[in-house]
Amino acid sequence: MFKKVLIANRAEIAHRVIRACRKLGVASVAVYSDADAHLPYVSAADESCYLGPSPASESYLNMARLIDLARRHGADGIHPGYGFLAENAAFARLCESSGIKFIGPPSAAIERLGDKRAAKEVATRASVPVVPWFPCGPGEGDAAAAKAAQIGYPVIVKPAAGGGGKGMHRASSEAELLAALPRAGREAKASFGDDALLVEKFLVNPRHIEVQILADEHGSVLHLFERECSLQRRQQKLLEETPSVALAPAQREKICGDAVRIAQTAGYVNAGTCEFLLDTKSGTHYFCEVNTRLQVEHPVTEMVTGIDLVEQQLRVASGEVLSLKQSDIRQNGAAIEVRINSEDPFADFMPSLGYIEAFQVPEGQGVRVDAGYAAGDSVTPYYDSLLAKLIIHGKDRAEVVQRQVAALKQFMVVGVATTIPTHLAIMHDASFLKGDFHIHYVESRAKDWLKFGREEDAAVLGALMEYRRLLKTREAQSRAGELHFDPWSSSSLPRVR
Amino acid sequence: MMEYEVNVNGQTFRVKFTERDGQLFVTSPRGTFPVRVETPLRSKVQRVQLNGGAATFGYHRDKERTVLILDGTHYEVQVREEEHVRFTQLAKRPGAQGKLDVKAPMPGQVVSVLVKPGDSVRKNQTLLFLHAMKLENDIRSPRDGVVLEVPVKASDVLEKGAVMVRLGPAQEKP
Repeated sequence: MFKKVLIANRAEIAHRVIRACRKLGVASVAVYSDADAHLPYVSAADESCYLGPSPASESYLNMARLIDLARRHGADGIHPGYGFLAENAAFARLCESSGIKFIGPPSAAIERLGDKRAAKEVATRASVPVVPWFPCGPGEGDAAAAKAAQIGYPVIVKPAAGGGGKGMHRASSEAELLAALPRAGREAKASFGDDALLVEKFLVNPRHIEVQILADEHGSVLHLFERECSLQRRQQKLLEETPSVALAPAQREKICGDAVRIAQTAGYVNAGTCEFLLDTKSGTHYFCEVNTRLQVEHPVTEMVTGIDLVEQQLRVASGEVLSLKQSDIRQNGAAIEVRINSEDPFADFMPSLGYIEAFQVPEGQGVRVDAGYAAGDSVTPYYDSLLAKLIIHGKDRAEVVQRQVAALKQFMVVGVATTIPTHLAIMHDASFLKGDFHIHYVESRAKDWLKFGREEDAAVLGALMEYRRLLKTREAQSRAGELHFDPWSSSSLPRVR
Repeated sequence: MMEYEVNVNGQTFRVKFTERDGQLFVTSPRGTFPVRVETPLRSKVQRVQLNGGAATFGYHRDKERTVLILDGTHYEVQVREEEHVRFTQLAKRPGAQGKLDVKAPMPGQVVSVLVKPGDSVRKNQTLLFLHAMKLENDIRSPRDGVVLEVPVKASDVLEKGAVMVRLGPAQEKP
């Protein structure tokens, strides 16, 4: 096991890793930028050191400085958390060449799976379906129509080069495809100087299902079941849960088996996640990509399986053999995580920056809060908006939802706006409760569901605060005697006429 | 007694506070209920007994806005004193006719009176100066009109709401 681990990250995930280190008797080193000097994780670590100025490029992305600090503090491992350098093969390589263990997969695995096309090849080698596609020229309408008929409509025509939505056309029929090809070709030529196209099956409102993988250096690869992360906004996950209501037992077994084969084929080690899109119409899942790191949403898996993923990461990285067997890993009950971000759901999720005046976290059965901030901290513009994760476990989904509602109402953040109202809306949403949603669902609902009907109470309490302020001002004035009379004992006031 | 007009998410409520025998009561469209406050005014998380039930809420007030956090959601509230509301409403109404009493918007002492009965005044013309909260406040006419009566004089000490100037309808222009 490691003697000392430097955590190349910040806020809630840094704190999370510190907790796992403490559990294993491993000393922890926190690093912080100017903006983060007072966050709770800094004092929670055994040692802490200043990393650099607030912009991430000068602090949390400064590879040389991180390696230097790890050396100076005598750390024999670096945990990258998620984001920043977590999926950076160059950083993993730098750790390897510096004799410091990168707590994650080997740099070669990050490299291989980080390239989307190479990852698709890995999946195909592992006999895992990827979204069907074929290459095509703008003038090859007849051949394209024949192949499209095989993969099934709708399809999407994309330029082979470039991206960003340019030259992309959806086609629901052969006629639409034949019309789209020359047009997409002209647009591709104009935008990217290359009219090569590809045609891919278009999934209408799919669901996002991912599978947690855990692999050791001795050839053992396990899965810890799935997480469903379909509730997203602009590709940012808002809520994650396990088990997914969309999977029947047979399909769960299949998708988890597919993930294990991908990890085996890629020679994967440590914790990772295989992401899939589930086409609800056909019930088929397609491989998307592998995240070669710990995920933000890892706690729902921990709650349901009872396995501490960060502890397992540290064990695997220190060379231990996984002591778990696949048959020991069970899904016990259900768990939902919601991301409490400092964003204003009433203002199109604009980031809300500022001083946190109060930060009260809920408590109760099955409630876990992984927080990066506390009262008295400031939310700065330099990093992501995640304040905390509220993770709740229960015997089934209905119990979890009920506990989420109670906990969300208790969660009190004063000073910055948060996504708590959005999560409350989700917990009351009929389609969510039925399990009927997809990756575009939140965007389709974001505007009309934030009505909670306690306006009159808010009016009464808001006026009460104003009234109390007024009384206090009056009291202060009458004490100071500035007006040479006490106007507040009202009617008995002598009038000087 | 104190009355407020409160705007929350586009809805407007009248909220009134009265004290009887040391007990505070609040009246809103829903009815009149006793209120008991359990937290100091400066606390950012407030606890209030309202009609027998406890309400816990977050309170954030800055220059731009006042936000209440209640049962997990944010309510932006705008609270205005009822007197102030009436005053501005009247002032806004163009060419309002009839009589209008200009009342003291806050307690204070009259510094000087600039108008006398019979004077024609224009909207926004200063009628008198009122010393309150360490400042001399100029009291302006909410509309055009003719001064009917000035029941106060310099150095008078006034309660809030005391009538300072009575205005009559503006004279027709020749």
